[in-house]
Amino acid sequence: MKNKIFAFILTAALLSQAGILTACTQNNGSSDKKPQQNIEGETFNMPEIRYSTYDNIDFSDYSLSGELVDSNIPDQWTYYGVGDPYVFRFNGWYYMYCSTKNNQDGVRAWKSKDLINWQKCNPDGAIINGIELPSGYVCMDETINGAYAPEVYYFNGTFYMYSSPKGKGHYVYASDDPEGPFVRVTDNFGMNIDGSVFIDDDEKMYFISAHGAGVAIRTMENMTDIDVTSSNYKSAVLANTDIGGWTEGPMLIKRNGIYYMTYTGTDVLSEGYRVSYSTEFDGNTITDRNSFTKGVDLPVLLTVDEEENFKGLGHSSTVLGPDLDSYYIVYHTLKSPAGPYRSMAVDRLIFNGTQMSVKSNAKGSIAARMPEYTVDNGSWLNALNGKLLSANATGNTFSAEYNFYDDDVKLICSYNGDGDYAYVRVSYAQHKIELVKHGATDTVVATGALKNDFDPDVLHTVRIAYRDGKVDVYFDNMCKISEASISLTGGKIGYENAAVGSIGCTTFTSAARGSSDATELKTAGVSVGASNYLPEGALSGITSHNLSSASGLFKTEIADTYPTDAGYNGAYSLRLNKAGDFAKYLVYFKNAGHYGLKLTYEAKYGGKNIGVRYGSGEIKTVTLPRIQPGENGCVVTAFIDEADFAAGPAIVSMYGAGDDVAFISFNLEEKSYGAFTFENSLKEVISEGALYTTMYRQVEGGHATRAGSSMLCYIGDATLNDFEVEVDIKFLSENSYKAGLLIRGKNFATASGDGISAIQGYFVSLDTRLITLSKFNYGYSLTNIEAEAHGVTRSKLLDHQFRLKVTAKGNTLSVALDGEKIIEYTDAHAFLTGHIGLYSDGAEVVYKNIKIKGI
Amino acid sequence: MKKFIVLIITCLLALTMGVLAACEPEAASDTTPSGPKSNPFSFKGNVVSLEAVIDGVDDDALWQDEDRVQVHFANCDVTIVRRATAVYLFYKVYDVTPYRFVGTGDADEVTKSDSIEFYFDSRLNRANVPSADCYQINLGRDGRTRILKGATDSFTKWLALYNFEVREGDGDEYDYYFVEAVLPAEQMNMTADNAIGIAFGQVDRVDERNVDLQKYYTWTGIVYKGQYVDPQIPSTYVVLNPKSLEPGVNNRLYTYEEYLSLTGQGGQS
Repeated sequence: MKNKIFAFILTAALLSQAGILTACTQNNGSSDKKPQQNIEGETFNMPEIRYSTYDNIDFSDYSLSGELVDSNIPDQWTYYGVGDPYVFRFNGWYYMYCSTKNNQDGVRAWKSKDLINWQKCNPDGAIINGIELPSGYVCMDETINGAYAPEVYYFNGTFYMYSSPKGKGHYVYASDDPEGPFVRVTDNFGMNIDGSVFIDDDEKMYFISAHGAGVAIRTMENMTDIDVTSSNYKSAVLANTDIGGWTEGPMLIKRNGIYYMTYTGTDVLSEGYRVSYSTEFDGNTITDRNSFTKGVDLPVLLTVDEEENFKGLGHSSTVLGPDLDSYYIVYHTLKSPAGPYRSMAVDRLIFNGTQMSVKSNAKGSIAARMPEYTVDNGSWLNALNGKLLSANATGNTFSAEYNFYDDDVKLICSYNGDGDYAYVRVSYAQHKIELVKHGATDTVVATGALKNDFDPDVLHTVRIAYRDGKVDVYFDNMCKISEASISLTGGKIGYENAAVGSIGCTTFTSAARGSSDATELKTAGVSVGASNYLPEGALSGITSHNLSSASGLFKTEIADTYPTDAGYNGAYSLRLNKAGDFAKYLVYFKNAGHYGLKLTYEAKYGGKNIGVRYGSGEIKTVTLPRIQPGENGCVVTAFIDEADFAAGPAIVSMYGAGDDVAFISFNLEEKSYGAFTFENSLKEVISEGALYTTMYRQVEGGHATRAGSSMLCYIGDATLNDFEVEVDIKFLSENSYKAGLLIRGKNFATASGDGISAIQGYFVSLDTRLITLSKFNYGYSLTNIEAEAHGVTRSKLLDHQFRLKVTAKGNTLSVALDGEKIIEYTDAHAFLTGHIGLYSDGAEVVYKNIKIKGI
Repeated sequence: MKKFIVLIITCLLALTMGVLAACEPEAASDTTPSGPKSNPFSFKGNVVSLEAVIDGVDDDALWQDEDRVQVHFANCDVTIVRRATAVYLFYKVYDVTPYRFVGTGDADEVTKSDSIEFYFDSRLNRANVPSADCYQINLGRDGRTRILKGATDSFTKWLALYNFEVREGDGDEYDYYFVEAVLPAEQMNMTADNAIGIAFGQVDRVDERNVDLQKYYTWTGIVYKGQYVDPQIPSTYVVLNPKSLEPGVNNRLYTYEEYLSLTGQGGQS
């Protein structure tokens, strides 16, 4: 792994010299990876796209069969692993803290430069200020037995740790080093579990924590003074921040002016533990109960992969990537409910305005890009005319980070000579931070306020992010200058008025203000936002986009009359009004396969034409399906095209075709195709093409369920898209429970608290009263879409063998019983792929003669 | 110059096709299918075809297999037949105080009701804490279950691919019940020929009162060759070895000490 990282850093450095934005290594460690045919044409010479991958399952120190294996995180708790991981970035390092194994003392921590390879903090143990820290530990305070979800934040020279030991209320612990020793500085102030801190740009502080009805939020006077008395606990719970039950593991970040709240639930022991998110972007006070709006495509993290034992994804934290522009979500996976035994995982977040998406991967995640330039201290900088400067120059879009002590230090960027640069100056005494353009005279471009009395003798961090004439300046991760207008070019970065010894990590990458989301390989399965198209010059030899004045990005606005789709408010749409206008997107296919292009767009564009193109293939004109979103919605998601893709990177292009059309995002999802068929009498177990989660009784020549049990047998893989399925079903006994067919189902969870809705997909069910078509999404949007009695009397149900037939075609499902069509339903945001299943919820039935046909 | 020519040709082609948009230096499609799956049903399932109809009746030929293992304990006669793909078990249980149950759900209440138990240490690692190869299966006379897989330091729910059927006795066997079960080898980390540890138990509920679940039932486990087999301690399990450790003998039970001796591992524990 060390070789891989070395190759990665070396390659990144070389690419930065060449001015290429896409700084990646490739994943076999030796030879360069050839561009895939998904991109390469015959007549243009695109630079190789390099990338490296890692496997999240390598963070576990036990194999699937239970043997101890080498892990990327050494010295985890035996039979406990890493649960509730929290990752904190400081001075070029990532520090990871996690929950402590039950009834054990202390808090362990690890650190990393790349989010993949971790080393123990205090590996040899330490005695600091008379406090003994065993190897790997950062806190041994007497109150910290069975630490729940410790999180660490830095403010003005002190690191603060928040934890609720054994879930019995929070304490704050403090240290002057992220590796401890942390010592208790408050009494227990309750607030349940999973306390997390958010410091806003105006330096207001907030404490958020778990609650049964959503995320609880309280204001903080300072880092140790949480206002637990101003209102009762229940009233402090934010609406629209619940996971559908017990909600925990909250985290709040602010990116480009938008607040993103992630949260997890409902049961850490369930395979269906999952993460959703909500946003606030229009100026509401975040403590207002109704300030947040639920996001889209929820849950944003949910995978039940029994084959890789990759499931129960949750309790996330979000951290800035090493390139200073990307964001990564760190979460745990459930290896076993006992303990519980968990393992860390990390994956890339992709943003499109308020829309946030992530593809969780057991294997094959794209590694974070390392900075193009980084030095750990000032001695590596070059002295020139009273300045300390980097050896290399940034690109014309850049993020630069400075870690330093002292007052009135000038933090230089865009340096192209002593008469041509800009700088940021922090003046603690004057409580301000200034962006200055240096020329013949210095011109103050923008000023930000520092409200606290910041100490110049402790380390502070400034980050400058410049793109397309706009600059943001962050002080200790608070955005103090936002979207200031200034014209800069690439150049060296560095310091003036700073002693070599007062400088910490200094680093830059040629990405800023979200541009890395466009240049990143976006793994198929993640929602690619309309705004994530390649910027000009991202890949040599390719015109990344061509947008006339008739086309371009705009913020999607959803009227209040469409509450179902409120989450799309503030997501970017791309209008393509002119034929020939186009935008290109970079997508990564882990596996070769047949993929459907799933597009999200406002329903009003149904019937309009749009062009799509894969690699250097022909431009296909596609008519967007006309789908009625229902009276409460105005956005739809549908497959609009499909194609074969080789494994590896690909370019997907969206073209104007002469119509007034726009879209919000697209997603490439592996799907079935063609005229496949499957038939089975169900007299015996299905040994090919089926995955049983429970075994069926062999009764009356069919598959029989057990009364009182939820039973599921997946038939076909998870790519099934358009098909007809029919099966005989007969009730063997009378009760009020249901049985029927699962349509496009996946992610089934079976923990003791999970009910029939702990799955995603549609359930066409019969009971002794009703035929029902339900949409399940972990109860989150549990909806009986249509439920009607169709002359199915109780006596008939018990005496009769029904032929149940479901046709799934695009966004529409239709149901027929004994040849009579009885339900038809169109879902604007349909599950479009998934397994077929025999699925029961306590009813005792026998299934026979299943027949499936692709359509 | 070449680029320019290609650009012109490309644009002309695009115009000819009525596609105005292709005005950039990229070639016509050379994208070809790369072997995507065409049949979403062409994968190996996670269960195997069975050699017996699991109906609670031991009339399948399998139960007369010459390599079957038979053991008696408490009021149970147990037959075990091991195949490469599965382990089959058949219990004939005499219920002294029949039809006594507590509760109505699966899980712990089953272990206090009329029921049978079997335990597997499927990799015979004899770990003192249950590990991923330890299984505890309780089947109630009324069909309720408690299925656990020991994953780390405690038993947990196992999403089971077992199959079983309980049949009530009739006629002269009216106070008996019969349990036929099959357990998949691959899903339980068993190979065709590895030694496994086994323990058995039977619960006879003697009172129906739903109070103090720890009383009013009897639990009996197996004593094999004078050694009590504690199902909570895998290191005490008897060993089921499919290989012929002795001439002409397959699939028999051994104490662990016998197993070590016969496999030349004497002295280990």
